[in-house]
Formats: sequence, C-alpha cells, structure tokens
Amino acid sequence: MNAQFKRGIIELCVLSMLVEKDSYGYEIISELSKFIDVSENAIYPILRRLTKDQYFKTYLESSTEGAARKYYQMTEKGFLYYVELRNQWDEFIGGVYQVIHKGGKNNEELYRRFKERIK
Amino acid sequence: MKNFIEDLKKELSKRNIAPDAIDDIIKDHEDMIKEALEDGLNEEDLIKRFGTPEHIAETLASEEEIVEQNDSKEKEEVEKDQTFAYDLDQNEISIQIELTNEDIIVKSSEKAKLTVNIENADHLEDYVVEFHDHTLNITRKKQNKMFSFFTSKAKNTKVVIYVPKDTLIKSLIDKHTNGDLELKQLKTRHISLNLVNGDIEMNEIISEGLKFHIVNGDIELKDIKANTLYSSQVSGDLEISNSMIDGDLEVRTVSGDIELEEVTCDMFEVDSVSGDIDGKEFYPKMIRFKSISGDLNIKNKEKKEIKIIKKSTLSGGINIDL
Repeated sequence: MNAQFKRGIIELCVLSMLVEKDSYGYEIISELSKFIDVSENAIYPILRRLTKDQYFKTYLESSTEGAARKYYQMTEKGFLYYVELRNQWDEFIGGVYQVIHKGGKNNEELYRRFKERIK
Repeated sequence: MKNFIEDLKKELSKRNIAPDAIDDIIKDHEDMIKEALEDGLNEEDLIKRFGTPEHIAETLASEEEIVEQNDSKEKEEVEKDQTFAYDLDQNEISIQIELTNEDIIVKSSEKAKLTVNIENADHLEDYVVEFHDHTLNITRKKQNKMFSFFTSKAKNTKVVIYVPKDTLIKSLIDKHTNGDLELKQLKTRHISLNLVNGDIEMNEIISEGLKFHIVNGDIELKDIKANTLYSSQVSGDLEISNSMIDGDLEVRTVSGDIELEEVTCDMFEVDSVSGDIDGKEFYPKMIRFKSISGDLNIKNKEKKEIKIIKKSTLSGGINIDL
C-alpha cells in the first residue's frame, strides 16, 4: 500500500485513540500495532508533529511503576481536525464501497459473470 | 535498547535536527522503550512497533523540512489564481471536466471570450486547461488522485467557467468527487454529471437532456426547461422548482427524498427504495411508480388528469390531493 496513504490512515487512528482518552506514547504505539503493521510508518513522528501543530498538548503524570509518563491530550483544535479528517475518510471509503460493491459481494457469482463476459 | 537509542541519536544528528529537539526525541524514546522492555519486548519487536531508527529520523527530518518550506512559501506568496481565455470562432462548444475536490461554477457572461478562472489552488501547475476542437477540457494531473484528499487539505479551490452568452453548450460532462457544482443561465444540449459527494445547484438552464449520477450530494434545480431529465441518486435529496420537462422525468433514489414544486412533465417515472417524493403544483401527465417503502404525495390546486400507468410498492403509496 502506498506509504503516504497509509500514513494518513495511521494519523486518523492516532487521533481516534486520543478522542477517547488521554494516553502516553508507549500505550498508543502498542495499542495501534496490535491492529496495524506500523513498522514502516513510525507513530512517534506523527505524535510529535500533531503536538507541534497544537492538535495535542502534553503533561506529565507519575505511573504506578514510578517514572513519570508523558501523556498526550487532544486540544479543541485537534478535535476539529479529527472531525475533518474523519469526514473525509467516511466520504472516501463510502465512495470506494459504492464502486467495489456495485456487482455485489459474492465472489462465485462475480466469477461466473466474469467468465461469461470474456467467453 | 542501548543500540536502538544510540542508532537513533546518530541518525538524528546526521540530519541536522536541532540539538534541543534531539534531546527531546531521545528522552521520549528512552521512556517508551523502557516500558517496552518491561513488557518483555526484544530488539526486533522494538523495530516492529517503533520503526527503525533510520526511518524515525528520516520522517522527523522531513517533517521539520515541510514546516520550513511552508513558511517560506507563504512569504513568497505563491500564485494561487490563474485565468485562461479563449476566442470562439463559432457559438457552439463542449465542456469536459474531470476533477476531485474543487468547486465548479459554469455561468454565462457578457465577456466575449470563453474564460476559465482557477482560484485559490495550492498547486496551480497540476491543473490542465485546454481548448481545442471547440471543446474545453479541465483536468488535474493524476499522480495522487486516489488519496489526494489526504494530502491536499485545502478543499476550497474554485474553478469558474464564464461562457459568453448566446453560446450553445453541446455537451457538458462533469465527473468529480467532492466539490460542488453550480450552473447558471446556460443554453445546452446535453448535461451529464457524475458526482460522489458534491452538491449541484442549477438555475435558468435550457437543455435537451439532463443526466445525473450522484451518491451523497443534494441537487437543487430551479427554472429548468428540458426535454428529458434523468437523476439517479443514493442518499442525496433532489429539489426541482419552476421547471418544465417536455418529455420524461425519471428519478431513482435509494434513501434520498425528492421535492417538486411548480413542475410539469410528460411521464414521471420513479424508482425509490425508501426515499419519499413530495410534489406541490406538480403536473405530470402520467406516472410510473415503483418503491419499497417510499411514498409519493402530490398536492395540486388545479385539477388536471394524472394517469397512473404502473404502481408497484411494498409499503409505500400514492396520494394525490386536490
């Protein structure tokens, strides 16, 4: 998959996580990597850029293990950005589904019609 | 862990990132990696989750660069508008548009030349505007078409086409994804529109045939004179007012509603899943109606005969009130 496209999706995932609750770097990274292969799209640079752009702010809070953790918290600006990106995503994926599901989802049926057509 | 951090430090320094920023980035990684090791991750797992030090540094460096570039661009005030003008040697033209996120306006004007204005474009050089064989073509270079909405955040680029009045548009074909389309005071033969999310607004349009395929956008038509009108939509609404369709008016909708006011047509053909159709001063001569749950309601003052040729519906109905 195109790296830039995937990066946009991962950015949306990071934003989605922080809409729900404040979180710290390692938690965000390990949570996301459960679902998505992020080896080629490092998450940290995304966190850093979104913080720099004031979509997130950070604060320190001590953890039970002792060392203080840096938490990321979404700002209002970040929330608006999330909504914009989310809408774009929904529109896009809606359009994609319109196109790819036009012939239905049944592969056998699609294959039968395909064979018929290229006969 | 030591290796990872040291590699990262090296990669960052190589790329001229500010020392303050490097300290910050290293500190963040030390904290995160400490937790990862407590979780029992080995060096290989680290790379899977965090990416390679080289890749992290590369991305961070390119981002610093992006920010600087944007700043200097703003200072230089990069040109965002461009005008194209063409002489016409006959008063018939065709227009073909294939774009993604732009808003498009086509209207008649007093100008003698066919004029295209592109306004507020982030990458003017990407737009291709050509006029030959009496056909105006507007496209955008396609390198990133599939996901351009993720990379180009500015959605407010406008393309305005001024058509000299008394020019007949033989065909107007527009395919685009997210932008809106506005047509005003045009004489046309065929209009064919394919949009996914954009809204359509049409005012004072004369046409032989109108054809729309829309997924989510709403359509608003006013003062239309056409021989036929065909509209297929999924969830967008359609509103037509003060219009005369000599021939067939055919609408297909999944969940979008349809509103008609002061409209006449010959055959009114409806295929609706759950969208309702409301007519007010709506005078078709004949109706063919097919729906699952959508209703057709007409409220007219004048008593004119409306023949119902065909009706098939599961739970919808037709009501004509006089």
